[in-house]
Amino acid sequence: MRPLAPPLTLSENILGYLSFLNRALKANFAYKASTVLGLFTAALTYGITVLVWNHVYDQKGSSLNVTRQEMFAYLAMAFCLNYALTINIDQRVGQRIRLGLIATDLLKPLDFQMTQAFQALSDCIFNGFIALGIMAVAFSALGRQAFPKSPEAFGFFLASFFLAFIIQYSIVFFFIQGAFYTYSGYGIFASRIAVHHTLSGLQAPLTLYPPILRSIGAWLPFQHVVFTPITLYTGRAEGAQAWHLLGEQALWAAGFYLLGNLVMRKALKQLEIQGG
Amino acid sequence: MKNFDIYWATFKASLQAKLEYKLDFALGLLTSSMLQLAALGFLWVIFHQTSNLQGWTQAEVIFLFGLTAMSLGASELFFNHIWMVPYYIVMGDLDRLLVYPVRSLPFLLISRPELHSFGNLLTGLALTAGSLWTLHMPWQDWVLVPVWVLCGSVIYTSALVVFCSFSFKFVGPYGYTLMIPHTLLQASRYPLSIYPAWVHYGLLFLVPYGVFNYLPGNWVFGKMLFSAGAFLTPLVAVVCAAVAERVWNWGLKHYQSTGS
Amino acid sequence: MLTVPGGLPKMLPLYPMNSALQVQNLSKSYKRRIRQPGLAGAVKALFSTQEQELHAVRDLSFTLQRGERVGLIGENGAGKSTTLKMLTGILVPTGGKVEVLGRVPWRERRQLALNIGVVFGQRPQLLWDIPVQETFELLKTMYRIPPDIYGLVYKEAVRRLGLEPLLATPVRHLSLGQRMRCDLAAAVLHAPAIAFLDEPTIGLDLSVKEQVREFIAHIQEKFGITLLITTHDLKDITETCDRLLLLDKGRLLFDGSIKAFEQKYASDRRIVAETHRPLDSSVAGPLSVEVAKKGGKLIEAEGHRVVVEYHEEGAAPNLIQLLLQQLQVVDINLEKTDIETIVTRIYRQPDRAGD
Repeated sequence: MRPLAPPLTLSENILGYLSFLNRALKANFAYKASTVLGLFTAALTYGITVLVWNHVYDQKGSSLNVTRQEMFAYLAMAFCLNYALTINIDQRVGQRIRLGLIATDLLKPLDFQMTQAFQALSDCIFNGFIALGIMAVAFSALGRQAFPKSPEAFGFFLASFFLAFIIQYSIVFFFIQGAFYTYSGYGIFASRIAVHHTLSGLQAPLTLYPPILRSIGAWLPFQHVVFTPITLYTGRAEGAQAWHLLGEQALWAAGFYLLGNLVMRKALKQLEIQGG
Repeated sequence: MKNFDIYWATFKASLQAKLEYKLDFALGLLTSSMLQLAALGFLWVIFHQTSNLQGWTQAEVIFLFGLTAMSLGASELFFNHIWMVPYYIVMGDLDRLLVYPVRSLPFLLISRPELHSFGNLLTGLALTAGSLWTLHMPWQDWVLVPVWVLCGSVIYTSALVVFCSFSFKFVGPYGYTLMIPHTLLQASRYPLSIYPAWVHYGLLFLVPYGVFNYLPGNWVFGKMLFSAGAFLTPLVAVVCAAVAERVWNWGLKHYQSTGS
Repeated sequence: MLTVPGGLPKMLPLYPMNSALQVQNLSKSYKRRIRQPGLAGAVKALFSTQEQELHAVRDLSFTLQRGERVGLIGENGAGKSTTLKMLTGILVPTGGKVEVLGRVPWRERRQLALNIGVVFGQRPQLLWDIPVQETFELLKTMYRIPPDIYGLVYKEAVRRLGLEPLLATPVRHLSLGQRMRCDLAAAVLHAPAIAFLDEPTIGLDLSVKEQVREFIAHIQEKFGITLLITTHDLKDITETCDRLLLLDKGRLLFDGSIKAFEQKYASDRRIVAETHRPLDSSVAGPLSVEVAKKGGKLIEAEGHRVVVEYHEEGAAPNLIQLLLQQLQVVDINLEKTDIETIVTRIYRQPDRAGD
């Protein structure tokens, strides 16, 4: 009899995840028409927001505490950030659960949560490149408004962006587990997106929000995906305040990652009981 | 329609089957309500900064939101199957539509109702009713709401069908194509006059969403001279449906000659 | 045969003709995109597309008479399903003419659909999340099936296909095999004039396959349905069909009765005899001359075994007589190559139809 395979070493593990990443990127590139259409739709959604704000500025002039230039720079930033952080693993995993293919994923000798993180990373890299392209266009249109406030601000932003990715991924992963319990899973994904849209600061800086909505948002992690990185980028929080924001992000990231892990274990038990 | 009973029987049977999944039903209800509420959240932010949009108050804009949500809900309740077409083409499953002795478009549309539509319908109803109630509108306005909603669902579905058919002719079977008319619907929730002229008239004449929310809103709140255009809504709906079926059959021919 | 009860005479006046289906020079080609492998290939595909033309069906001609039972066979990718899809109006051909019940399928798809039944074994057609029983009821409305016909076919289907326990189950909870049976029942519920069955026994276990064949044969006989079956299981054809079409790389390689098929390809019939005592080596030479005179060919004469091959159908009695006279035979067998072996052998020939 062939001896049992030894557990994977660290490097073998990493190689495994990297091959996964490579495959996911390939699949992303293959869907060119989908990519273009998806971008177009996202831009269309955003165009509505921009046009509505544009009208508000036409009507109210400069009585808002954010100038029109700042607002457009903010919206461009938010669009790109959100585009880069659009992670599609929920739909993919949801479908695999529905088709009963999830069992084969769980059989692979790699950690499921980690594999999915690499899948998400592939999405992030792919979408991030497109977002960079859009950012370049925005830079030329908006001029200095689109640049980070200072080198430190940019440094804070990069750290914040990384944490935002982990938070976003962990939230998505947490909600994925719901697909184990319902047939379609659609409801859960869409609910997450609905809350994300309202509370992440995607459509306006949170400083313009009504106080009630703001305080609801403060208790949830969504604002740390879009609003916090931009706040750091534009230098609206510096020094100790910036470190404080990063700390908050790190806490949310760690907390939700662990929460996702916990819920996954529970969902897997459920899966075993139901027999897939 | 000559074979109406066939389509109705199909719809009833499919609806009944869907009702068996109670948890999904509840979740879907919650979700579509939440999507509507999220949109309302943005409206709230906007009106926190300004008191009106081109002369429309918050309550008046909410009337537009309500009509749009209900039209979307009605379309999803009756005609949601159109969203599956891109997948059917990819999987080679569109053939099954073509083995039955019925018109393929109505049969397709009606045979897979989506129950989360009730979330949209209920939220929309609450918004519309709330708006009409707080603004003390006369009973005529209430009575006409179902007509606009029905026409709205037909016009919106027609737009989906047209985009879907164009997509299988020119682009390929991609689900995202349908997101375009879906997203445009979100644009039509605001008074069209806040937009640049090309968007404003594009949404009235090209993709005529304004016909089932903006024009009725104008009529109800007495905004503009040709607000009587609200009474053209049923006519526009019929024309849209006819155009949609022609375009669909034309797109289907492409499928039949390429097999993809 | 003209009084087909299931067809709707109102929609489709019966044509004064015997042929149910005519195909002339039918062909179909596709354009397919070529993709290079690897990540680099995927990136390249973003910017360019190369296309390749594939000929799925080429220059196909045949006619089906009313009530005929015909099997269509061929390897995967030979063009069977494509042909069926063109005959049912799902696909439009790139060239050639097709008439089914006097109609051009893709132009008069709906009128035709009322009078044909279709099963795609690979992809069951039943569309809804609704129970089987209600699917049947729905089809009854849709095809306007007269109650007596419906009752009759329904009863037969439930009995012969063992559908009773499945009736209350929503279609998507059925296994592939169960769905297949329901699909078959659904396809003939309106007693169509023609039934196109694409791999109707795929994925079924042996006993169920047998049930399905019996059901098909029974319904066919009862209503005089014209039958066109494609399959990989040749038993489907030997048990339900009289005629055989062999497709190969989109071309028609053979069209004729099953008997003719065997005669054409199963040229090697054999007589195998066993002798009481081991054969002497000197026997072989003279025996082979004798056998040749009677129209056979001695293949083997060694140990206890003698094998004679012949082609002419009438040669067997003479050859047997010869062997019985010349040798001390204890056992004698006539061997005929079965159809499955023949077909496999045809597929294996490297340069058969050619491109």
